[in-house]
Amino acid sequence: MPVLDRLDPYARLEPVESVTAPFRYFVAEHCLNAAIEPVLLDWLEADAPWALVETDFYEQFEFDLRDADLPPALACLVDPDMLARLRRKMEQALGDALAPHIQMVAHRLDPGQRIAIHNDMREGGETHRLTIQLNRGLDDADGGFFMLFNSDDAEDIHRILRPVSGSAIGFAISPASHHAVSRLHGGTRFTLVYSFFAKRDE
Amino acid sequence: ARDLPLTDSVALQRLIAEVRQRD
Repeated sequence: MPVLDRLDPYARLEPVESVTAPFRYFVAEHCLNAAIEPVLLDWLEADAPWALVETDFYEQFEFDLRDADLPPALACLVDPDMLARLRRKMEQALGDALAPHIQMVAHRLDPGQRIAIHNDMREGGETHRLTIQLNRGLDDADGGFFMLFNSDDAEDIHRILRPVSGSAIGFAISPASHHAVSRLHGGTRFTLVYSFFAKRDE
Repeated sequence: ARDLPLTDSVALQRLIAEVRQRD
């Protein structure tokens, strides 16, 4: 496995589209360093410490990257300096000041799994989210679409994004930030999920 | 393309059913 020392894995992450309604979000493409993405996919498929998590509205495999024994080639993903750069990109994209603390979880959706409509709101919880897609190529028959809604009604669709590997959506969590992931029918859908916290006025 | 076209009503209804809350 190559050692990619002090590489900024997020250098290419730039919004290609910014939207304010029904909630504030941006879309980006080709977000991860081209050398990192295949190495990360290999590791997620072969060695990552997945644990099945089931709740009342979703079932998927996940693990916290802060707990993981990452290979040297992927250490840059959790490097504090690189995460600080990523935080600044989120601040610029969404116009909010964010605290230094960042949480980072990997998700794996297998065929048959889905995430029902929800808004990510949580008392005292994270305030901004970034999700980066990783997969070997999913076509429309495979499902796993990232769905955005105008309201809490699943029929009130704002748009549906294909899970193109390397693409990302970042958004400000609010009562209106309703989204879901449609059922996966084929392939494997990996996601890196970064959670940020608005900087509080001292 | 990033967006799935919202033109196939049958496919849309299937997706909507997939993401409804169970309760």
